[in-house]
Amino acid sequence: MKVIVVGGGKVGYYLTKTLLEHGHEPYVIENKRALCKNIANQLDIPVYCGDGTSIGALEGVQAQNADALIAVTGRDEDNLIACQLAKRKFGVKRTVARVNNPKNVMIMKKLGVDIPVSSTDNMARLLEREVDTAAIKQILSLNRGEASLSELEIPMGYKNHGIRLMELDLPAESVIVTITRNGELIIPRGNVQLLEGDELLVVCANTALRELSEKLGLQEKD
Amino acid sequence: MNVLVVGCGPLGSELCISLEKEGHDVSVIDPDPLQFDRLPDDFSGYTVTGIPIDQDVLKEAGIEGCDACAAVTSDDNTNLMICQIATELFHVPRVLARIYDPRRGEVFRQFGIHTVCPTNLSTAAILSMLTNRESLGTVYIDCATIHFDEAPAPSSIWGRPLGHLCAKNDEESGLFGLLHADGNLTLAAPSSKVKIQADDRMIYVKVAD
Repeated sequence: MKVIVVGGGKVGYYLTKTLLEHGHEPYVIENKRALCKNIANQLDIPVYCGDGTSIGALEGVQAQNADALIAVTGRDEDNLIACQLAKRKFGVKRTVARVNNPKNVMIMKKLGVDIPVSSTDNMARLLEREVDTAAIKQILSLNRGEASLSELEIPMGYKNHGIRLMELDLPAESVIVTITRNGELIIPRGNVQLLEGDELLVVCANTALRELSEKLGLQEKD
Repeated sequence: MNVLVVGCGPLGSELCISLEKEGHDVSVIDPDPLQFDRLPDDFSGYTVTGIPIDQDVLKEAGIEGCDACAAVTSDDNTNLMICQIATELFHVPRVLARIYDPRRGEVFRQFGIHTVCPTNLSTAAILSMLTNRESLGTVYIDCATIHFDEAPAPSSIWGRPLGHLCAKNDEESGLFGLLHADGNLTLAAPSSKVKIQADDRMIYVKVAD
């Protein structure tokens, strides 16, 4: 895929490197000459020195032929405008913007950015699950971090040993997809019991993970 | 009218003062509180210090109840983002951005954002002054700035029909009409057979912004 990366700072640099490793064709636009030189030398790819929110720069990298544009500068305004220009003037199909202030995620999406990525939100969520819900292991992220498929184990000495699923008041945004017990896979209905040693696969909204953990009775007593 | 001005630099502050003089209620936002020193001591408007693209700051400055918003910070992209937030999120009826880069401004203008481009305006004014055309004046229609210039009819076209000279007119500039020595004006129409006289003056029109 031909991908334009606007912003050659740390994020832009590592993003470009990763894109290269995955076999894509990145083009970088960066304003500071020194950063441009660095990227061009280290990664050996075309770098356009200029303002990624200007038509000149986007023309310079032939944005009309790009499959995607990713704006990762430190300013939300610049990321928004780069994405809008790419989409409206150059017809780029997918636009991704780094959102530094989480408050701006909704407006970015509303104004046409296909995928706004808030690093602050993502980090907060990551930390939350590491600290709060240590027993839950995320397998797969769903719908851009909104929900996940996670694995959790019912410990030995489980206080709710034998409880039926329907007796638990689990949050609406969660579903226990499978229970693995002694090597056997169970796809549960409400009358299935939870036993110590069970391995569960759950689909749950990230905002409801804590509640799920509590309702299952997995939270450690403080 | 309740007007929100975002950016209290040289332009923003002048705008605030003018608006207040005309009797409007003004709020102004700037991230740097020192910029408010540009405003006179008896300024009755409301000043808010904060990041201009932050919705909470905009709300504090009264964007929800305002009739018009002018985004005049020094950064084009900030102005464009503020305009769009004002329109899409807060449904402000009249929104305008000052955009320095003419090409970028043109793209966003096509998407319905009203822009004022000082670069275009200055270029048009300076061009008029540098060529031997005399500026007749500027007319503002909605967000468009229209410039009129005049110059004496060059001898090379004396005797030619007016219609022939409209051929070079395009969507942004061209010959507007012919001002005769008796003070009458003939509009430049492609079908016009009026012959250009030595004492006629050519009136040119240009969409400066």
